[in-house]
Amino acid sequence: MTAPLREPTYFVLTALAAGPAHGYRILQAIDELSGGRVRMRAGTLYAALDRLERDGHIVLVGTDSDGGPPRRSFALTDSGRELLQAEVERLRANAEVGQAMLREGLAT
Amino acid sequence: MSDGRVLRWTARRLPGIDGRLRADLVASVDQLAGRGGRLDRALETASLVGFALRSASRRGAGDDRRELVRQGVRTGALVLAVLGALGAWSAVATAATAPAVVLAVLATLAAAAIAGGLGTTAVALAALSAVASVVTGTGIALPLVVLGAVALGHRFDARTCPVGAGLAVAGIAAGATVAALAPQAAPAGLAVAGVAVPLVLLAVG
Repeated sequence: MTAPLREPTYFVLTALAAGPAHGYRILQAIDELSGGRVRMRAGTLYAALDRLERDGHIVLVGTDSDGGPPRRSFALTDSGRELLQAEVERLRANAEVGQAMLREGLAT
Repeated sequence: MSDGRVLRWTARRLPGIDGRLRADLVASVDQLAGRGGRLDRALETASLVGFALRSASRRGAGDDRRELVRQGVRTGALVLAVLGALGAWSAVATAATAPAVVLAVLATLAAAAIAGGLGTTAVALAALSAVASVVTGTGIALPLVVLGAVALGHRFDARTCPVGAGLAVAGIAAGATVAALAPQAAPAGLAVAGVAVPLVLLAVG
């Protein structure tokens, strides 16, 4: 059982779930995925990427030019995908418990 | 300087950032620098400084949380030592007695020794500062806390973390300037240490 992920880490992994991306694209994806609620600064993002890479949850992969100079992208590893999956299941279980208690409250 | 030059320069030159991440970081920052206002860029710059400090600390400590905490304690000692030095120089600006000058010099050397990662020297200088504080009657609490934090904390090395040393030097310079311009305002000299760096970042980001 792993500790719950911090929200920025969760969104970094979520942003990479669809495929490899470079830093700026990850920032944009997090902004979109969270509906603008989570706004990460570059230092926060790269600190998270650095930690996730050292822990083996993401890897640096080939270059991605994106119309500009070539740059490295980040990709989820199997370990990172499992970590995200575990967090999704934890959040889903928590949400179901909360929903059930709300329904029970309405019924009484 | 409102076009993000400082933010771009920080991303390119800031020491302590893993070389494998640098190229992508620089490219991302180039894109970020073109959006948002001055405050936004200042906050981005501050976040990069924080990232570099964490990276430098982690290089020395690995992933050992206890070691990171002990490095944090030493960093705290540096901040307090800088505050003490500023307070001492403010007192000199108000009344330049020989003991006050000795205390200010000792406190400054103690801060420099902490920034330089010279543990034993820093402990000795912090202890001498505490004695000098008793002689000048300026209060011994701060020098004692610095002494304890230096002794308990672990090496915070300016050679591996020039960012921290740079921040300390910037804080001392800013505080000394305030002390020189407003010698009656010792509290201002102390306060500026806490706000100088963020203000500089806000101004130039």
